[in-house]
Formats: sequence, C-alpha cells, structure tokens
Amino acid sequence: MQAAILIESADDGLKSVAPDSVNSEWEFSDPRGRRVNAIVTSTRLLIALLAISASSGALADDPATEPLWHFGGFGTLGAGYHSQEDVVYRRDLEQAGGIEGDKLGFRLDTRIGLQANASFNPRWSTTIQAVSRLNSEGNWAPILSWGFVRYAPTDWLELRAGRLGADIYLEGDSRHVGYAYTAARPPTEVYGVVTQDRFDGADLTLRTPIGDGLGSVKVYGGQSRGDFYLYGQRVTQDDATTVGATIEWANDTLTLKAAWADIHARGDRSLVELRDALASVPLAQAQLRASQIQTSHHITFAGLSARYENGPWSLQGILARETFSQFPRYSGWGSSVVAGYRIGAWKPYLTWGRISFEPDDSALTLPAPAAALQVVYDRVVDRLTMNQRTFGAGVRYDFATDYALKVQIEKINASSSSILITPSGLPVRDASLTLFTVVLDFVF
Amino acid sequence: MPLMHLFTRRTLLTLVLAFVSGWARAETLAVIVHPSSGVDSLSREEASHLFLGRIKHLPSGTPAVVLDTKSLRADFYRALVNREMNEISAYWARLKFSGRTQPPEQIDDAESVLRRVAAERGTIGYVDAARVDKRVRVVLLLEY
Repeated sequence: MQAAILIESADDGLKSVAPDSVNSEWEFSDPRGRRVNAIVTSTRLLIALLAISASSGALADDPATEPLWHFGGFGTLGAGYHSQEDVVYRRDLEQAGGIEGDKLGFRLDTRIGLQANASFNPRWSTTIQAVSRLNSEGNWAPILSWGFVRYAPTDWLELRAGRLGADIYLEGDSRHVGYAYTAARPPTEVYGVVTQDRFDGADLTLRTPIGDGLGSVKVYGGQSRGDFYLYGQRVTQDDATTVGATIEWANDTLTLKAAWADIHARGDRSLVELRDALASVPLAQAQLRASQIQTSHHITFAGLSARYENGPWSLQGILARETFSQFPRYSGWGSSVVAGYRIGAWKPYLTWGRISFEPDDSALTLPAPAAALQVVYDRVVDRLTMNQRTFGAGVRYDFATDYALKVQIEKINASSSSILITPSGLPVRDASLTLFTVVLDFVF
Repeated sequence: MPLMHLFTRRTLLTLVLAFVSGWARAETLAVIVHPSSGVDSLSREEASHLFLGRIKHLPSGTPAVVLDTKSLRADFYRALVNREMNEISAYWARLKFSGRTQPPEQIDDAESVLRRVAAERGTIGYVDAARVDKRVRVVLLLEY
C-alpha cells in the first residue's frame, strides 16, 4: 500500500522538444526540477520497500538468519573511431553524444555498474544497482537501474516491486552489461530506440516446466523512467506509464521469447502549437491534420526473439515491431541477427541489424502565405524517420576469467536516422560509415 | 603399398585396445545431495535448471543451496549442458546483473563440497564419482 501511494505521488508532466528552427515557438518545462523529483521519489520508494522487506523477512517462517549480501559490478572501457565528418555515432537515442567523425572517442560504450544484493531468506531478497554512462544530458550522472524487493514463495511464482526494467531484452534485462553480450553492444537497430526501459512499479512472474525446458509468463507495470536526446535537447516523459508482458521458454540450448511493452504518455504538449496553427488555416486538410494531433500517445514494442547455444555455436535473432502513435504515427521493424563460434578463448562473430521506422502518409499542402508553417509541418512529419542497417564482424577474446576483449568493425548505412546525429543533435540523412570499436568488458 | 605395412594385425589390435581403454577411462561426475534432502534422483533437465539458476528449490521443496567445485566446473558444464566456461560466465552475467539470481557458490575443492553437502540439507553440488562416500547421496551421474 505504501509503495502504491508513493508511486502515485510521483510528479507528472511531460517535456518535449521541437526542431531547432521552431524551438522558440514552443514551451519547455523545467527538466532539472522534475528530474530531482523523480530521483527523490525513487529513493523514497526504495527505502519504503526495503523497510517492508526487512520486516517481512524477520516475520517469515524461514529460519531467521543474517542477510546474505553479494556485492559486485560490471563495466566496459570502450574506444571507437569512424571517419565520417558531421556524423555522431550513438548506440541509442538516450546518449547526448557518441563517436564523432575523424576523432577517437571513448564515450560510446564506456560504462560502469555497481550492484548490491541481499537475501534475507529463500523467499525475500533485494537488489540495488546503479549505472554510470553517457546520458541524455551529456554527463555521467548515475541512474538507479534496479532497486527492488523480491518475494518468491516458490519456484513458480515471483513478485518484485520497486525500480524495475522492461523485460524486452533477450540477453538479460539490461542493455548495459557488455560482458553478457557476444558483440560489443546490444543491437542498435532493435534496442536503440527503446530507452524508456525502466519503471517504478511491480512485476509478477509465473513459471512452469514445459517439455525439457521451463516456461514463464511475466506481467509488469508502473511509472516510466528513461529519456531521449533528440534535436539537441533532452526529452523525458515523467507522466508516462509502462505496462508489458513476456512469454518465455528456455531449455539448455534454446531460448524463445515474445515480449510486448507499451509506454503511454498523456500530457505531451510538444505539438500543441503546431495543432493550433494548423487549426487556424481555412483548409479542410489542415483541419484534419490538426484533429489528428493528440497530447496522448503510445510507444509500443512487440518482439519475437530466439537464442540457440550449443557447443561452440551461438546464434540469436530478434524481430520487433515498434510503433509511436504521436502524430503522424510512426511504425516499423527492428531486426537483428548475431552468430558466433567459439574456438577456445576466441569467439569470432558476425552481426546484422536493420531498422525501418516510417511515418504514416500525412501529406499536406498549405497555401503560399503559410510557407513557414509548411516547413515546420514537414519537419515534424519527418522528425523520427529511420532507415538504417548495419553489417559487422568481430572477435571476442576471453583472455582471463571475467574479462573479455572485443574488436569489432561495422559498416553502417543510413538513408535517414535519429540514432546517428549531427554534432548539433539533428537527425542524419544519407550517411555511410565504417565504425571501428575496441571494448574491454569485465565483471567483478 | 608401404602404408599397408602400418596396419598389421598387431597395430590394429593396439589401436582397438587404446580405444577401449580410453572409453573405459571416461571420468564420471556425481551430483550429490544430503541423504535426508528428500531427493532420490534428478533428471538432467532438473539438474540444469538448478545449476543454471532457473529454479531454486529441490524437487522435494527444500530451498536449494547450489555449489560449484571450482576445479571441475569446466568438465561439469560441458557434460551437463555442452557449454564452455566462458559462455557460462556470460550467462551468469546476464542473470546476476539483471537482478534475477546469483550464481552458485564457488568452492575450491571437492572435500569441502562433500563436507558442505553432508552438513546442510538443501545443499547440492558435484564431485568426482570416485570420491563419493556415505555422507552424501548421488542423484545424477554425468560422464565426461
């Protein structure tokens, strides 16, 4: 109950941005204040949950013992280079920077995470994890990536509450643990556009044996956390809610997963001024477009994935349908394949990824006096269009226990991309580049 | 045909004997539990669910404490799930840092594993089958 009250008390509101050319016409709310509120709310939520957990642990039937603590962490030291001027390579929409053309860069993959886990008894445990990486404000302020209490009375039922992650990833529920991935980073074309992957809420998992494997169903929901860096600005939707469900089956060689997640923002006023301007144009088509602009929208991820691991072989594939219902409604597919073959400490691999993210047809021709509005309209319609594909090859070298060195080369072609940006943060059109990456992944 | 001289009857017999003795020398690992754990045997699937952290209770319902014998880990996971240790380490990084579960406790030597399993009811581990004694119960044998 206490947790529910705290979640409801979290701040609401939404900030968004417009193309640079129209920034001055649109209103932005104060990002700093809201962010601080969110952190305070999360901390209060976590403290409350820890208190509930500690008291419940003491009252449980299980033999009273001291909590069993585990401390650990993970990290990546990464370096990258490409020669394409005026293009910044990012691994996801969250980063306010990346690898700039003709410069050796270290900000793309480098990150570090610390985690503490306490088991109070076989039923109750808690996990806290913080990650520092280049964020949407261009600094390295750590985020609370996990902070939950788990109650698992049996193997077949698990309930968690607190700061959680949307269960959309095939390789564990995190995009930050480089050591867990065969390649240098998770596939950009699938996960690069879904960075609102944390929420404050709860999840429930049911498991059952099916054949020689284990099947599970998970449902989750809560208040969204996460943000983007687009058009030179940080974009966040602190009033958004996340709901999702996952069905998974895994045995020793095969993992099959179907994941669905929906992020619903209700107070997005970023296009309100455009809507009002269109509504004032005495043209039926303009009125129609104005009526299509809503302050409520959904970001939806629906993915199918499979991982096969047997002997030296590992193969994984993901196909995801991604939609953004804000005007003019974007939809598309993200897909990725990674294949690797282990030879002792070495694991050469190939990667392939593609994203297409297109706006619905929303043609509008405004009369000549509204030429300025026409420019803004056309930019808004095209603001998130993406067509990008990557083919890569690399080798992972597990040279010591808990350390992996990866050297990777990728050819990236993008007719349009918001993941790739210009140095001023604008989307990139017609870019082709070769990215060289070296990362050192470690866990401890 | 000089090569034919290599395959005299004696040579062939030597090769067959070498193959048979090699086969007979296949090592066996024993998955062991406490005698009063309520578990008489485990299937390979049940063992992999436990050692890969997918389930956390023995079939009898007792909460499981899973132990790795450091010196035998590579052979054990190759025999159980046909995966190399580097892949197992990456697997545990996925689970551990996504807040799912903790990897097995790492124990240096087989005697310590035997002592722990003999002393704690929910503990499950593995040792060389030749080392098993009355203190523990064997629930699965794996050749490697």
